Amino acid sequence: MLGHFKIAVVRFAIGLACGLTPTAGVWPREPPTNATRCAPEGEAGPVVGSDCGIEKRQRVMIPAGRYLPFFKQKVSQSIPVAQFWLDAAPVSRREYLDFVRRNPAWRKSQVKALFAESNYLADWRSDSSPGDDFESPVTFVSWFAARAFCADRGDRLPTVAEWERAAGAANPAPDLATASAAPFRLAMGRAAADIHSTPVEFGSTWEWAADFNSALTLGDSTGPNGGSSLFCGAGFRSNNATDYAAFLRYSFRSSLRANYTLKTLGFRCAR
Amino acid sequence: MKYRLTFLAVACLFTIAGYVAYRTAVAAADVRSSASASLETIVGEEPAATTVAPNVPPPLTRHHATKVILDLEVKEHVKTLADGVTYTYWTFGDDAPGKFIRVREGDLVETHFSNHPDNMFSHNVDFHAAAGPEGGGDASFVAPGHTTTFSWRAMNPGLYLYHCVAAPAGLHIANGMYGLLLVEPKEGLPKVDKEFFVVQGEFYTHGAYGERGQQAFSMEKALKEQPEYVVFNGHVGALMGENALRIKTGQSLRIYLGNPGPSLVSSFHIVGAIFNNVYGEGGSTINQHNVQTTVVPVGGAAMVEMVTDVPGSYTLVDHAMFRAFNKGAMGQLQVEGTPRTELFSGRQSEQTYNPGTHLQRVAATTEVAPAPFASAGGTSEHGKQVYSTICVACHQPDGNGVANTFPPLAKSDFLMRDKDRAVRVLLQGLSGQVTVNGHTFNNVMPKLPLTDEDIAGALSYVRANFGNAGSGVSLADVARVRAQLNRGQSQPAMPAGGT
Repeated sequence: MLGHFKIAVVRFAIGLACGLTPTAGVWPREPPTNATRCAPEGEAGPVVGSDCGIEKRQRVMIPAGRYLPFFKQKVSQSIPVAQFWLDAAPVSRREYLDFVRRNPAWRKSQVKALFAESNYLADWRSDSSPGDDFESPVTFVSWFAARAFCADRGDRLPTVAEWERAAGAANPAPDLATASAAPFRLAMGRAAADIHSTPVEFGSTWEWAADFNSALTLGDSTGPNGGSSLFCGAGFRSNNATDYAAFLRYSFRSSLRANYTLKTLGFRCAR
Repeated sequence: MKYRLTFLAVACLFTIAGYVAYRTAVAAADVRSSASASLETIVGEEPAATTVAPNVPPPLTRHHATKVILDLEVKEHVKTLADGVTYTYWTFGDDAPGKFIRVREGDLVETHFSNHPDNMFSHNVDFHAAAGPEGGGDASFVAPGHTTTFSWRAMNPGLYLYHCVAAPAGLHIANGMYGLLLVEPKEGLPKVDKEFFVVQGEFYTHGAYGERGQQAFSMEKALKEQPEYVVFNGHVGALMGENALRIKTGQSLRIYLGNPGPSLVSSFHIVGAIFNNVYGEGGSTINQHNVQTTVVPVGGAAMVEMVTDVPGSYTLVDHAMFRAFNKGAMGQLQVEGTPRTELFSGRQSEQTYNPGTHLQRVAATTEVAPAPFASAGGTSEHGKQVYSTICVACHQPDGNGVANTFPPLAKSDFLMRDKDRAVRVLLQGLSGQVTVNGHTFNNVMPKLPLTDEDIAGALSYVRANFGNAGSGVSLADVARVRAQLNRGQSQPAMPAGGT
């Protein structure tokens, strides 16, 4: 019963998120910005128009390809992934500041509890002050917030298949780490081999995917025992039991709920 | 007639079904321990009794079951694995192993499982003592910055591991996510004077054993099940020197053993001691007496009880000896008290033994040594690292060696009298009888894979520490002695005596 109730709440919440419209709000005068809403661009090029007031958004074209789901389906086969554009870097605090300036409902002080946990934007000093490092990825954002941000830009969150095509499954890490001082960071992604000619940043944060909680097809990952295939049975059910980076990534995704706001979890958009 | 037959058939079926149900119940009663067949009433509530390694909470004196509140927090943080070596541990609480948890049979354990907000990964906990799916793995699975709560009844007395079982489980365990939990029987365990716990675990580092600096996890070594480190209580030296386990002669001692692995079965042994009682595999019954080495399976436990009458230093090892000597699986039990020469005399006499033949000496190696580093190697500081990762296994943290087995370096006349001889010993190894500080030793020190830098450093370190005050050994000294050996001009590497 409780499980059904939760699903209903999530569906209700998704519905609300889709229907959200920005409402007028008084915005503090700092930091000064001449930002206007960016005009949606066509697929002609990877760069958003430079008159946006925020920095240029670099996108990379991910060519059409195939994605082999990490956990075996009834019939284990790769699925096609159409060509798409993906942000070259996670969304920065500067970009997110511009978003909340124009969308008061997503400000730190005004966000609905249903859409984000209480530590939403926890490292921001105020609604308009995202800390010192404006260029670092925004984190402490929920799936609802990330989704709204991308929609505001005329984009969307990448699907798990798209994200893995660009950053994970197409390039399974042979090992979790080199001798470098950042252990296990490779689990957060590494650019696929066929897009390496363009600099693409992965590995600074985890990233939301549109269908983050549907990676497992056995049951409802939010329900009792639904995630058990992630534990001892995981190796048996995976397509590559030595891809520990993928295990860590899928395991992490399956522990999320759409309202979670975590220190190490950000996002990027796709179109 | 027809109905009557039907009635008989149905009655017959009921009888058979009833009998089957009866037999099933009897069989269940046979399998299940009688103690856990019925639930005790929960009375009251209290925090779980926990302690950090190697200490164990005192016996529980309650005569009733209660609700135990257990808080477990996961941290991902850098800790020291060995001297000069760091590793990013994932731990329950502050360290690996996690705290020892002591509950009473019948207790309801309300577990509050928290994943620290600064952590990168999702985690969970599988209590081997909890009988239910995943031991709570699914019930506790949680993202960073969140807490899950679940409750379970400790129905079966015994010693159990707890560990993280989130995929890939081997990685979570190899990073340090394990601990021990004792479900104390209602009637309690037999009283002993001292209790400690020791958990054996492995670390798979990119760098070889002793390689300094921050070390990353090696997937390749993990899949081959070839760890660089096999350690007691999470770190090289966690039970050595100042951290040794300490008891007095005549005291009864119980050691709770756990082995989360994730790969190697432990052949747990204490050099010079005998386990008077063993609770095999951590079960609730003493199933063996007078055991020299007890197996602790991966994912399992054991309890041993002993009384030691003879004072001295006893060494805890995994008797797979290369793990003890070269990978860190070593600890110390210090027993204080008055000697009992009627039980163990110590050395009573010593004289020359000359059966009239001699063994042919092994030819000195002529292999080319690696070139010395151009850096400021060979320093005493570097030598301390070499000593604490290699030499310490035999010569001990305090440099006193082990009586009658490994000669002392502390205030050692043999070491200090002849600098070149010391260099030769490290270059070639040493076997046969030597006299050090008036005591004779007859053992083998192997030729070790040391660079000139390591040799100069280690000798400079030991010649200036442990009560010694002598000049250092330079890289030039080592090179000179090595050249002599290569030309065959040196004295034998095996001196006939130390004096």
